[in-house]
Amino acid sequence: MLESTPANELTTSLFRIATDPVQTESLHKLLGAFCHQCRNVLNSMKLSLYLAKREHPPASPNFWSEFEPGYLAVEQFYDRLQAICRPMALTPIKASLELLIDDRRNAWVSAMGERQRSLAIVAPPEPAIGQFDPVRLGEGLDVFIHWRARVGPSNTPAELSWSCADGRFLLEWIEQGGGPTISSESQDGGPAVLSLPFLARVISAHGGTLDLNFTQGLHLRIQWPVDLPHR
Amino acid sequence: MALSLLSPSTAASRSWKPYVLVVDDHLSSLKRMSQIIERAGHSCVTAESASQALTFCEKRRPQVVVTDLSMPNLDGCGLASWLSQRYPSVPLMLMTGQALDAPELVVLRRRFTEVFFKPVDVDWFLQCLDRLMPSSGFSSRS
Repeated sequence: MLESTPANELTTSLFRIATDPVQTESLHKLLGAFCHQCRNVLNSMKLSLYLAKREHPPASPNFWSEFEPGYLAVEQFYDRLQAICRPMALTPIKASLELLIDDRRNAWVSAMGERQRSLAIVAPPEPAIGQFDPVRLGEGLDVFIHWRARVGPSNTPAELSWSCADGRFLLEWIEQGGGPTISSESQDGGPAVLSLPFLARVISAHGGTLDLNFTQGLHLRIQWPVDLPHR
Repeated sequence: MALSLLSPSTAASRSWKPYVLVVDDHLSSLKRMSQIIERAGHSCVTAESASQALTFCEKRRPQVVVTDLSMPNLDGCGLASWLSQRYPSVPLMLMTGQALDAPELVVLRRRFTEVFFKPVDVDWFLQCLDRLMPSSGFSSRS
């Protein structure tokens, strides 16, 4: 189904882990000390970078501004990896899902538009109200949609819709044609590789499920209960 | 002014300026943090462990303590408990590389004046430090 690349294998492995609480717990214990060491090293690098920027004039006017995105991508990679590989505590509120989506609508449409892709955002006839963590869910949807905007086939439309029925939220993302392209662009192992596992982790923390189908384009179905279980 | 990694007696006797005590068992981070604080115009003493930090505090009370959370033997919370009893007016700033859940963070924010996640946002860190340190009488950063 997916191209066999190191990035895709990492994505699929982490996706499986992110949706399995037993594996997440086990991996959390194994990775705890390792992530702590990584953050210490990254911290030292960041402090060194700060000193270097302050004390040495740049080789060119854009030197530091070109360097920073690379550093920030590494920092983001660690943030996501830690979020995926540990139990995720939520701070849920009861609200309408429209509020969360409306806040991000323009950014998502704009991101898709950069590669001549259209995005139809289809709201349900009735407001979909229930419990969710607006920060975590918003972040999960953000990283997923920006990732699809970057790696999905150009000139192909996508549709985002959602509803609420039988005590569950249902959110769907449908991309037409183009075949399965999880990631050929993100073979550098950057944070984009972790977009799908991160969303899966957020949904798993909400007690929900995430299903992907690549038969014709890409069809993502996310479901979670409108009343979150007490944890 | 480099007071870093001197013996407690030497460090304390070098200067009576208010100083920042930084505690971290990751030596590279400790050294960089000390350089940044000193270049911002503040005196700084570094300790590689909580027990070394306690020794420094006994010699001379710091103006602000910046400590790592995870350290062998006595961790940042243990150090904070001791300092809070002995020097309740000394602000405590925490740095951590751990990913904390919201409830854990709430507990730490009650105990510490500021909590920073590694890698530390240096500009924000120095802003907080400037608020807590007495004015040095000159601009700390260009």
